[in-house]
Amino acid sequence: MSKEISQSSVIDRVAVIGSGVMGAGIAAHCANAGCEVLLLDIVTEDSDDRSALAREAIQKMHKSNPEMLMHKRNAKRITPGNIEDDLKKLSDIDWVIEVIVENLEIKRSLYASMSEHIGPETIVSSNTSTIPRAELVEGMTSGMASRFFITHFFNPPRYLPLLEVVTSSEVDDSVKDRLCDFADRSLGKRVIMCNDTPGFVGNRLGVYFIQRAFKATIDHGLTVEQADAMLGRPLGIPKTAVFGLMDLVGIDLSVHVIESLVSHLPDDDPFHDIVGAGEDIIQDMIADGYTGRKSKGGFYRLNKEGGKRVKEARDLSTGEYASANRKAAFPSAKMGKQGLGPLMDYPDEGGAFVSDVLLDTLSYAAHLVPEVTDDIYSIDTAMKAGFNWKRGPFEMMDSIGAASMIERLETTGRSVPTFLRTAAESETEDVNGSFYDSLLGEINRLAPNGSLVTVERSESTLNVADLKRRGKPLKRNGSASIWDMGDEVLLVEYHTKMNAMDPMNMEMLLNAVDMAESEGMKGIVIGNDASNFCAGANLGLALFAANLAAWKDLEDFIALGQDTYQTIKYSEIPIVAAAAGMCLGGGAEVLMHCDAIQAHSESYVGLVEVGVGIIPAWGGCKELLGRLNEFKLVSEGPMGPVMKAFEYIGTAQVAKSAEQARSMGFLGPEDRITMNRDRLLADAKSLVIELSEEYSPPEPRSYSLPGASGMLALQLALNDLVLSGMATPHDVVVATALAEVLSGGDTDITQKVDEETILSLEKAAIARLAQDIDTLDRMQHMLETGKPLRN
Amino acid sequence: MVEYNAPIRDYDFLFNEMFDAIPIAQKLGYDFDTDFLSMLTEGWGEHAKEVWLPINQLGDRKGLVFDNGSIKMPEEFKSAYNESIAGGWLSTSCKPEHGGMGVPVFFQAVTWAEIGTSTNMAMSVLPALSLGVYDVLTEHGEKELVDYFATKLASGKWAGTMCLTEPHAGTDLGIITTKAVSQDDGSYKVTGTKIFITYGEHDMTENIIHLVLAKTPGAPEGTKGISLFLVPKYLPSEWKSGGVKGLSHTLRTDHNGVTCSGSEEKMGIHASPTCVMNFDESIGWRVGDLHKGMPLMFEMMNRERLATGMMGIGLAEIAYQNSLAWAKERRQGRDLRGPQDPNESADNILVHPDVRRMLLEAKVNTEGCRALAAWTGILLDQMNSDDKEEAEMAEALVAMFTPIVKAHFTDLGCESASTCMQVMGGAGYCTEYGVEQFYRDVRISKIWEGTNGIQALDLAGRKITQNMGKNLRYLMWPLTEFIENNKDIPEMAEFNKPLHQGVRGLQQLTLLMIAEGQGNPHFLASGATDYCRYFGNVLLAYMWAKMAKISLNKKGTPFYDAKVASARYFFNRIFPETVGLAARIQSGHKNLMDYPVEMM
Repeated sequence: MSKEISQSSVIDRVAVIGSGVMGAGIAAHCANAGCEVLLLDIVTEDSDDRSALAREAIQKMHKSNPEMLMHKRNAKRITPGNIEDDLKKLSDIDWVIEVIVENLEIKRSLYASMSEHIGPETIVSSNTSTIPRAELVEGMTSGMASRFFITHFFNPPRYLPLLEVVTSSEVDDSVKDRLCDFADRSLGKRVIMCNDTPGFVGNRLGVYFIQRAFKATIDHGLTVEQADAMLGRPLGIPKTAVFGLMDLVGIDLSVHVIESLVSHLPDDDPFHDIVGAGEDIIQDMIADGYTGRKSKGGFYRLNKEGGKRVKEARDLSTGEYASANRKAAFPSAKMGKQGLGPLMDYPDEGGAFVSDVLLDTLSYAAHLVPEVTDDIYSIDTAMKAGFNWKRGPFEMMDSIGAASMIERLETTGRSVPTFLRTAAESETEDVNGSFYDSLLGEINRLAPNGSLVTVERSESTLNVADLKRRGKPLKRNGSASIWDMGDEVLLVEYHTKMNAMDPMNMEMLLNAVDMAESEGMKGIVIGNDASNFCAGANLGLALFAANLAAWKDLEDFIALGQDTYQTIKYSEIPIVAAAAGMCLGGGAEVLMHCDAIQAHSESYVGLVEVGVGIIPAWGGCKELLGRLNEFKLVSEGPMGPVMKAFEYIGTAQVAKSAEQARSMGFLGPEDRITMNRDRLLADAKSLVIELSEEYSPPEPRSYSLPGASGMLALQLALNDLVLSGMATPHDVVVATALAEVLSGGDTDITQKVDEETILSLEKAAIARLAQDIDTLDRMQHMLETGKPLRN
Repeated sequence: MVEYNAPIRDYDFLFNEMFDAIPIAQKLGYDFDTDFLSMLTEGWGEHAKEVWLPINQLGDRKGLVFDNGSIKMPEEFKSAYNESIAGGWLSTSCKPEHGGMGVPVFFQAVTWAEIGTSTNMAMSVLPALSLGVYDVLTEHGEKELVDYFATKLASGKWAGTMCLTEPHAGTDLGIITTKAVSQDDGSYKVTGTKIFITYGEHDMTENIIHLVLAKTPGAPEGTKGISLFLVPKYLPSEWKSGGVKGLSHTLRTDHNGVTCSGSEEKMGIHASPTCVMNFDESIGWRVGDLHKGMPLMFEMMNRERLATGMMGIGLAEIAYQNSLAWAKERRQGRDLRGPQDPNESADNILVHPDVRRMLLEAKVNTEGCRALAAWTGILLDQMNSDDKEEAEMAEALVAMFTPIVKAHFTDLGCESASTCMQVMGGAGYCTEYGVEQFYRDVRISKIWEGTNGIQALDLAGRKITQNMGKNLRYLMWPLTEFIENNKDIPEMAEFNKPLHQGVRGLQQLTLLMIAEGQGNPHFLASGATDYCRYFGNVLLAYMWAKMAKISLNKKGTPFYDAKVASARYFFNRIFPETVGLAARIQSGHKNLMDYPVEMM
């Protein structure tokens, strides 16, 4: 750890002032982080409850979509209040976050009334996105100003990990570290430090990109679908790209952000060149009530007439809506795979359009250095963590090549930012100059003066990307790699599509266990850098095998999965799963067979097999039954775990956070949660080392299962579902197969059932279901549409 | 003198003993029975032998004459054609209401096609194209158009063509430039140049109906902007500018802006014109919806692809019959175990294993393909079934079989024709015996209607992967069940075991193509041709195992004993090539794509 934070300076009491969408989101997320939260808002005159606004905000948290709370009980940590009666409570608050209306005078007056109440160590910050810190602290007591920051969250605060922080020379670094360390570890934020300039990094560049793209769409005469199709996937940007994103943010809000941003920008800023484009369109839309997804629609809308949900897009010139073109991309879009250069060079309108948007946006990013920050790594982080770009602008420029960027700017009559010239002349590994260099396996960034600076990161952050920079995998095939994490710990990284399980990543898992056991290593982490840990088995391959009547291959695949997972469970070394994102089906089953789970807070775990007409057969039924019992999550007696597992698996319930996964038994009481994704692998590795100190493999479980009587009970439950119309005919087939497994087959409560028996039941059930045409229809439908078929 | 006897017995076996063609046809509503089928088969076999075969060599030598925009066919062809339409032989599958016989599609698509191409490939193409136009028109044309044109096409008095290729656009039809501009009366004016148009111009019929792919102004780019137009060579004489309703069939003598500016000199099928066609503001009508021309043309093309596959069988069959006849007369050398005919100066060459190898290769390949063709033909009828499941099954199998029938049958047809020439030594190379003509004629079948390379890509890249592999289910589930059912029949072991191996191999290779091909299209494309041949082998193996199973129950009769012997030849001498094919597929794409292109 780079810096130890003393116990006394830990932040665990937070106040959020302002209970709008942003304030509520921040409050909920602080509660997710385990803090006691005071949520304050103004007193409403027409209510008896003087804290009605905050109280209602807390109630709404339960209904928010996406969910603000990681677990509904977290709401209990949030206390509602109002700024007239409750400011005195700020005295023992560690951090006060102001999230009120963007009005300088109102903010200043709030700070003034707070100043006598806050404690001597209390940190104060504003979530403003438009008002400079320098203006906010005018007239503020020097005590408060010395602990005052701008902390700019991105919406929704739980899900977007970017936090922009603006500090000042009047603030002591130890105060800044206390805040940033909390944001990093407890809130899971990727913190970047910004200068006190308009829009900081994210909005300055993100809004520029959107406005530039809007202008280019009009200039090139493209449709909104064409623009989004060209700027989304091909550039590694979410498919909402430009118009979809404006709908998401709110079209009225984007207008406000642009106005406020531009009014604060220097006169020679390139942003001024593109302002105004599409203004009339936006005004018309707002006048018509098309302000985005929060209203009846924006550039896109869902037409639900006639019972179908048809996505429609707005014609920018006529303002009429017509069914959205799903294949709007130009042929050049495919070139994105070969690189941004070939994409821009492709001789079609799409290539020319991308070239216009990208050259100006990337050039603008270079232009921001050093005004906004001198740290290009922070700029890249901002775009990745705040806007979900796969690569930041400087990484994109490196992929194009600094020299090529200059040539493109010059041949199109654009000016070349000084910093881009610096990069072209830099002495990095790339002979043509670049912004980054990975000398000695570190990330080295180009500073404005042309020197290379190693990016400082906490030692307790670790990504597979770091391992890649430092060396090659010990072993690799098309589906997975084995890495040396250092300290005698191995990492198995999947790299299939959605990190799905196939025979090849199983082979790597078995290889890693062999390697670790035979070489006396400490243990293994299973994890990766991807958004999803593992979304299940490679369903496509399984469906093809079934269509080919390759039953033997399917059986082998099931058997291989069972063997692999049992090997993980009973190996002589500890194995820890670093769960994150989707851990579904076969992915959830891996977790349950590991000795421990180090889960990112955003882990979505569930046994969802019934959606495609099968049941968990890699030990999922077996483990969930055992865990529900062992973790005492159900009532005593043999039926408790059986009924609960039947409910969870039979309805394909997915835990929507690591905390929820623990309540469902996917995580155990001893398993741990990491809030910051960048720290997940390092935490998992530490856990392996900790477990390796006195490790012995678990004892195999033996089960008491109800057999035929339990089967009968489950069938009765199923009949109720059928009668209430909630179960389709094939649901009954699949649920019956599941019931046979969970009730233990030919047994009764007086007998003991071992793990192998349940595994055989799983195997028999799935083999039968895989030959059922209704199951194959479900698989095909899921693969083709991404949605379950209710047959 | 060229010999030929239509394979009537084999068709009887296939349609009546192996596939339940008659009950299936009856269930589909056809007024059809076994006697009618055998009458048709025998009648057509006889007619083709008497009328078409005698002028086949003449057509090859005399060819056609291109003169100032028109093409003159040999007089003998004209009278033979007229005799055939008078006998109703060219419209068996057309609907009775249009003057056709209305018999199941399988007769025309399989039996008719094989015998026609055997006896006179150049001639057979003309009615095959007319029927293709008839099918698309009656399926998708507006009633007015159907009423006017269908009867004429069915009668054979008017002929049809398909106009796809342009000088710069062959395999890649998305870039065609032929234009169609709509007129106020609902017709279109079509302008552009088409090449390689088979029977684009000739004097066999009164009129020629062209189905033309063209783009309307402002249509989307690529194949999604293509529409299909029906453009006659001559318009009716009372033609004004309105519709076609109520008009007599008297034709104007001036053409409809449709001219032929040349005919290609070719390796074979010399009596089949291959034309450059120009359309200059030619009046035509749209068939099907705007911009939906490609799927319709593909419907027709798929039928033509199956017809092309039949050419492989037809030419291999007649080449085999003639080289066998020659071989039976030819004496050279002695049986290696000792003379068989000591009184003669030499033994008949059928004593030599290698001569038998060659002849049997042709015979067994042809019979295997014929069995698969018969199945495919019946499936064509089943595609129109009211039973949704039956229609879906048939559609899936036809989709999957089409590229295999086209590519594998024509590959084997070319190989067989060549092998049959080889049997005859120098005589095979001489025009006198006719076999060299079959070799030249059949060669085009590997090229037209989408080259065999394109067929292989269609199979591996589209037909296998569409519907997430569901097409495969309709083949592989019954096929594996068939294998399972044979396991306890000792006599079947010699056929069932290699079939089982081959099916296992196909399963593995398909999974490999899909797993590797997902992220790497070059892998899939590099293995496509070998995969298509592997798949073809498995289908023929399935056919041979089925034929063997039926024939084993009827042992002691020469026909059935020969079938079992043929199956034995297939599994021992042809099917083992799958091992090599598998190795080639598994070798991947690097040995092709890493080759330094500047050194090629």
